[in-house]
This record gives sequence, C-alpha cells and structure tokens, in this order.
Amino acid sequence: MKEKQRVPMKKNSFITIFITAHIVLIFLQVHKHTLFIKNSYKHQQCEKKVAALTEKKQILTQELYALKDRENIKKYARDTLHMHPYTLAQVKKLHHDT
Amino acid sequence: MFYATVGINLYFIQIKHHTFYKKLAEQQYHVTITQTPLRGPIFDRTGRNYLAMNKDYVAAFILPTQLTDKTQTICFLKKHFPHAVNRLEQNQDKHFMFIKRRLSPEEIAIIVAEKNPDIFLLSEPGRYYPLACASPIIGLTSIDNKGLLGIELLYNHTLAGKPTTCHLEKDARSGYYYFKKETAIQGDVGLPLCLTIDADLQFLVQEAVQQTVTKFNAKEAAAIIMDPNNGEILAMLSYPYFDPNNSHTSSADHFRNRIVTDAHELGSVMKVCAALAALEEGVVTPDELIDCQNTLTTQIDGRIINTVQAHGIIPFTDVVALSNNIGIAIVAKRLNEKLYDHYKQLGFGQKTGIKFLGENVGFLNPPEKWSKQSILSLSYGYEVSTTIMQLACAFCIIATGYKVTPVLVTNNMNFCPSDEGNKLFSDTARNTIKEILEKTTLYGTARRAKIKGYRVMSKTGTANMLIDGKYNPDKNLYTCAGIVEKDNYQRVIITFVKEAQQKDLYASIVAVPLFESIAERMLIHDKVIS
Repeated sequence: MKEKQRVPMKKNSFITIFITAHIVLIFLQVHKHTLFIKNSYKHQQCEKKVAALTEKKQILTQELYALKDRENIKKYARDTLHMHPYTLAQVKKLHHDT
Repeated sequence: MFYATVGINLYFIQIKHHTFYKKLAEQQYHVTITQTPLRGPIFDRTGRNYLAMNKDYVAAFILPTQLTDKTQTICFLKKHFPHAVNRLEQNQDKHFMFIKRRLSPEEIAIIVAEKNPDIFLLSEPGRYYPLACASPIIGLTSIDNKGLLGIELLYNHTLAGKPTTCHLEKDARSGYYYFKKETAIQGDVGLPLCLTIDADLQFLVQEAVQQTVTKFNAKEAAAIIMDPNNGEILAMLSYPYFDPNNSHTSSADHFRNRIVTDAHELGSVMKVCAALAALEEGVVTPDELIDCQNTLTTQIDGRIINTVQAHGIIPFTDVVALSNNIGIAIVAKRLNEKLYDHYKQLGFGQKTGIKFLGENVGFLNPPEKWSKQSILSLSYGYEVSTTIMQLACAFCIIATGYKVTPVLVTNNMNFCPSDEGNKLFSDTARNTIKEILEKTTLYGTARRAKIKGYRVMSKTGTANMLIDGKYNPDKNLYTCAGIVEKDNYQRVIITFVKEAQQKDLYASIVAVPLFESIAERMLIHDKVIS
C-alpha cells in the first residue's frame, strides 16, 4: 500500500500567509487606534458642548435672577398691577369642616 | 557637496542637538493644563434661591512685547482706558498686561468695534449676587474669585474646590483636542453651600428696615430673626450694606455685619436679663411692691440715677414693663455680684459661637473693676456692651431655657434641645419673665409690638451713645427685643436703629414699630395664621 506522502508547505506560501497575517494585525492595530482617536474626539466634542451649554445655562440663570429681582417685581406689582401690601389682620384662615 | 551638507545637518540635528530638539518636540506634543473647578454656589435655606452664583466676566489684555501697531494701540488706550497707558509705559518689557478686568458691556462693545489685533479679550470666572441685602453675610470674592469677606471667605476652601492637573498628548494640528489625557493631580469640585437664611424673609426684613431708616433718617439699623429651638438665623440685616455686584462704589463702612461686629451699651433692654437673674435667685417676686420714689432723678448709695418716667410704689412686673431705672436698680442691688454671673450665663462678654469672622465679644465689667455705680448701671444696660447677636442668643435662652449656638450654614446636625444638658434658668423664672414681657407688650413700653392672636413678648431700650467719654443725649440707640409665639412656633426678633436725626425719640416710637412690621411680615411669610 502506498503511503500518502505529506507535502510540506511551500516556502512562498508560508511567507505570503505570514506577511498577510502581520499586515492584517497591523491594520487591526491601526484601526483600533483610529477608533480610539475617533471616539476620543467625539468625547471631547461632547465635553466642549457640555462646557458651552453649562456656560449658556449660567448666563441664562443669571439673567433669570436679574429679572427675578424682588425689588423689580415689587415695583411692577405696585405700579403696573396696582397691587397693595396686605396686613396680617386681613389674612383669614379658612376652617374646612368635614 | 550636497550630500555632505545634508549629512552634517543631520549630525547636528540628530546627534549634537538631540536633547534640545527632543525637548522641543515634547513641548509640542505634551501639554500640562490645570483646570480650576467652578466655584460652588450659595443657596438660601430652601435650596431654590441662589444667594451667590457664578458669572463669567470679560477682561482685556495686551502683549506689550508683541504689539504690531503700538501707536494706534496707545492712541486707543489713551482715549478709552487712560489708566492702562500709564501701566503700559512702566511695563513695556513685560510679556502680558491686563488693560482692564471685569469690563462692562459698553467697554466690551468699544473693544470689539475697534478690531485692534493687539487687544485680546479673556473670559474670567466671577460671582453674581442676586440678593444685595444679604451682602454683609455672604461677603464677596476678589477679582481672582477667591473669598474675601463673609461666608465666601469663611467657606472658601469648600466653595472653591481644588484644581485638577492633567497631562495631554496632542500634535501641532489637533488644536483644542488631544489624543490622550492623564490626570496627574486629582482635584475636587467646588461644593454648594446652603445657608439658614430665607431669601424672601431677608428681603421683607430689608423692606421694613429701609422704611424705618427713611422715616427717621437714621444712620444705621439692623434686624435679626432667629429660631430659638435650633439657633438658625432666618434673616439678618445690617444697614447700610454694600452692593456686592458693584462693591468698588461702596464705602468701607458698609462691609461690616454690624449684628456680629458692633457692640453697644443697649440700655433698658438689658433690664430683662437683670429681672430674670433676680427672679432666678428669688430676691424678688413679680408682685412685690417696689418703691420707685415717684421721681425722675434720685440717689442710690450717693449715685445719681435718672429715669424717663416717674412711678411711685409699683409691682416688680410694672418696674420692667414701664422700664423704671430706679426700681430695677433697687432690685439689682440685692443680687450684687451674682448679676455678673447671670449675665455671663446669658452669654454676654463672650463669643456666641457663630461661625462668622470678626465677631465682637463685647464688654461686661467684671466685679473686681466695679465702682459703686456699676451694679446700678449694669441693671439698666450700661457698663455692658453687647452685640445684637449676643442679645438674640440671650432671648433664645429666655424662649426655650437652653443655650443655642447661632448657625448660618445648614448641616442637618443643628442643636436639638433634648440632646443638651440642663436648662440654664428654671422654668418658673423664665415663665415669669415671659409673662412680664407679654405685659410690656400689652400695656408697657412696647405696646406697638402687639399683634392680635399671637403671644408677643418684647422689651425696648433707648440708650445714649458714648461719644468722647460722655453720654450724648442727642445721639441714641433704639432697640426692641422680643419673642413671637403661636403654639409650637417660636421666633426671636431683635430690631436696632442707631442715631435717628429727630430728637426726643424713644425705642417705643422707632424700634417697636419696626419689630411689629417685621413680625407681621414674618408671620404672613411663614403662613402662621391665627
């Protein structure tokens, strides 16, 4: 019986596979790094956006508080709405009998 | 020849100056930045109202060594920022110079319109204070946003946080962005602070004080509302106060929180403390008849005593309610040195424990320095100088029997009477003095403080000011101190007015209506309706 003879891999094929594998690995490594940089960039963009929004919120809150100035509200209530301050004697407690 | 030149240059770059170029490259690729956290805001007791918040201010600067058009820049600065020109002349070799910090919107518009390439704008963190009347409490920050006064200074460490230092890896084109970030020193964020002050109540108190100051053309005024059960200060107004958003326009005198920093001889309001001491020691009973000699001036132990209104033989209750100096001095003599001990127990002549910088301990004349006059003077509020804060604490003791430490910052761990030791004064003495104070409000000197449906216990004090070693009868201090009660609701209110311009005024006309006005506003605000 004739024994099946093992054919050694050709030297060229081995080198080709070896180099291809390395190229693939390098490509994956580069791809990983690119992904990392891409996400890092996105993250920083978001951080920048958060900082800008925080600053905007700060400005708006400050504007809101400037508008909510009690002295201005009092003046508006008195002059525009013709409201008057009330005394304790004018306040009555309602008793709800159940 | 060409290859030789390239080779030599390569030698110099790669070998000879290797370290220099390596360092240069590292400087471009590795950047270290320090990020200062946002300063924590300050809220009132509700946690909804800001008392101090962050605001970005704009500063303008130039680089004196890199000016492209010096003549034009100087011409612009001369016209709009003349102070900066003088500084520029002195700092011509400096790399950086501020033109002005905290620019107004108009100044920013002028700079932007000029489009001068030598002038740069920079955003700087700062503070905005929505409630100006709370400024003596909250204080303010410096131009570098560091606590300078009040709570801002006292809690600077908590509010400011700690800066974080990071190493960034970037290249020449990455600009704002980086490839890698490593935290070298981890900082802390600035923590918010919640005060016991109620912003709305503070404003209502400010309104009432402002009206009184305008009406009597007074120089100074102050008012405080305290919860005697836990020592929380709900409103504390010191007038005049500075504008924290425009502090450079205010006088240095307006920066003090007078309630804590200024001590005065408050006069008759101290009779409450002398009476409490006498009742506690059992040297007098409320119904005991005291001979007030039906005169305005008399002598006790050879010392002259004046009183505002003459009374004959009246019960001790009326001595306090009608504020008779002769009557209270007669009773105080029975106490002698014990009066000093009781004043000490009530907290006079010592710190109240409030966490606030610049607290004045006042002065309580010790028995070893007493003259024959001392015991008499002490009984009606002279030879003892106290702050409004100390007086408020003494009234808290009258209200509850326990000593409380006044607090301005909430920490949910405030004093609870049941955890504390013994009461400082017996319930009998306290209840008696409270009844006397109630009578003072019903038919005594503090009649105008009466509020229908509520238990108001108050006492007035009109004191001459000591100027150049003499008591000036034309310059007075008007005080009204009291407790407002309704079921479990208790508040201590002190009102104080200094130097009203009109003459012949008494606390019953100046400080008592202010007390009543504040009490009414407070009851409506707190929805304590009878």
